Amino acid sequence: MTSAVRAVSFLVPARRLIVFVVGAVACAIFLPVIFSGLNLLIVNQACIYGIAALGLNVIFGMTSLLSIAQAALMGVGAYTFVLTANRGIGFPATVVLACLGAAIVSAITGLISTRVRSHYFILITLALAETVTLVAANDLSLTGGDNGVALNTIPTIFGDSLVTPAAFAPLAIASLFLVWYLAECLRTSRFGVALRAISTDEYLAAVSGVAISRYRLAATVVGGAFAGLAGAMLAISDAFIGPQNFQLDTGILLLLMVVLAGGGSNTGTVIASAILTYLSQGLLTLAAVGELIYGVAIVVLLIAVPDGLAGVGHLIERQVRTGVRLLTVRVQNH
Amino acid sequence: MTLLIQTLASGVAAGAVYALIAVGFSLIYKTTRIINLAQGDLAILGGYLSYTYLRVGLPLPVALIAGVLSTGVAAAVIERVALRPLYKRPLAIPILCTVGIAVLLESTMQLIWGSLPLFLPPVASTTPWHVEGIAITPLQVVMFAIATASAIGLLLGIGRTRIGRAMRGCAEDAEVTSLFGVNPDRMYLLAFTVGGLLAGLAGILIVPTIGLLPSSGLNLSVIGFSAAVLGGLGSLPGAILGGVLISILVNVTEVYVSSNYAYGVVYLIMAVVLLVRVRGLLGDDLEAVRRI
Repeated sequence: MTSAVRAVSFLVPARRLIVFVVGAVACAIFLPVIFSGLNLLIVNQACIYGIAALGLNVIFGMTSLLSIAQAALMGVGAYTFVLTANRGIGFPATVVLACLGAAIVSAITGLISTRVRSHYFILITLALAETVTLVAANDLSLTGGDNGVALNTIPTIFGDSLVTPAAFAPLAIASLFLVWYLAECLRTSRFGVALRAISTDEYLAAVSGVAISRYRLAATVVGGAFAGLAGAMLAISDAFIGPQNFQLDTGILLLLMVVLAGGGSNTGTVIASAILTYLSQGLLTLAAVGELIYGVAIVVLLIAVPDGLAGVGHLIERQVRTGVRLLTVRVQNH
Repeated sequence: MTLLIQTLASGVAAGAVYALIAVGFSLIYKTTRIINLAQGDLAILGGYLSYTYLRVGLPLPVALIAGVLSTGVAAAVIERVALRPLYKRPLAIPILCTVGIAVLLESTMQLIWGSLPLFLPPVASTTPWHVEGIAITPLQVVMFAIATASAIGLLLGIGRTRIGRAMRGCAEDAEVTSLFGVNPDRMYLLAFTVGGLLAGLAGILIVPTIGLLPSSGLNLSVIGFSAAVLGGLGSLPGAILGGVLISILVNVTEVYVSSNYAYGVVYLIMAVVLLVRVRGLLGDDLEAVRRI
């Protein structure tokens, strides 16, 4: 197998590709029909947070680098997107720029993560998150301060403007599936195995020849790029961004999604982001109570459900398997 | 020149209080290897509890002391209930749990006491003495004195007593220490309780200056961490030095650059320290070696 073929071969495991294409097309067509009004908005929101949470899953879920800067990275992506779009750069290029911008900023944390132990990393991401909010709120000429910036022209796809939630939903759903697919390929690839090795035991991974620093840096870059994409999607969906979208509480919500998913599971992350986005929309009206519930939820989840949704999923799967085996044995005996 | 000295003086006074938060943070880190991100919120909780005791009718000194003690109890309860089940998991998990606790504390305070600033009377008068054109308030002097006294007391306690040695031992190797008849769980509980007491003390001292608001906990946490990181995580004298330095830098930035970016300087310092010299100013070499 030549190296070029090997490099792309992890992208095409047949079964997952079929799930990805069929699922994306079906959801993109049917979800906007099933949901409408407020519920459709929540679907869009869940897709956006899902993309960002999948990025955080690469950084925290797989590599165990505890980052609370994911919302700030979304912010970097969103501001890059809006500011370049308002200066006349075309639609797909702006999204690429948003991903690049967030990936670069995330790489800064990655560079530091190669030098410090894991729990210094959280301090660095805290510093980054707060710095991004500070710049967004205070650099009036560029970011419009607390008032935010409006997106002047809503992009169009196939001549169809994305201004309504119904028009935006297929794009959001398709992007979520694409990111899920990429993340899933990444998780089962050599790269993903290396990341999990690092998070399980750094020393063992190092003596097994895993280039720890390089893989950590790569994980933050990939996670940052996903956050940038999520930020750009948020900017399109709201046609407006401000610092309040990207504060620490959003970062903590994203972390909560990955924790609820458990075990670095991508599918779990998508399900968790759907559940938590739906809940957080309900809690939005009661600000302090909502945050209280987040706080309690984090603590209780960590203590009571150590493996998250993935753990519950495995448990059910194992029960079903044993059940089926018992059944077949019984049938054979008869 | 007078402005500079004035800035330095108020920086040192506030810095002594930040040093208390940093010392508590460093102590918890030193014993349990956990970064307690709820430290600043505990400080604010101390302020609110004192405020409530005062409203109930206790005289000011009693209310303040009761507030500090209750904060220590709160920290102990948090350790016992939320963190003890998590010690055997990867380190990121208990640290994330303290993030959850910080959110929980902030929103609880907001629910109970509202999000408008409340007034907690300072421990000493705020009418300034004028010395050579520089205004120094008795409160600042008292802040500095109390903070320095408790920091030195703690340093001696950790450095010279059997319990202090047991706590340091737990940080190095909990299993080996338990062979010497020390119960690591009790040491962890003690570290959190003392950390909570220090946070509460810092809270009642600093709250009259910065205002009693649920949301100021995060800023206090951030300053405390940066101070501890600057001085060298796990080093108690380093935390004191870091607290004073950070506070002076914040004050100088506020006066000479821009008040909006004062906290930006704190983050910048933290990033630079972590990039250039991980073990900080006074941290031990172990911390630097244990880097991957």
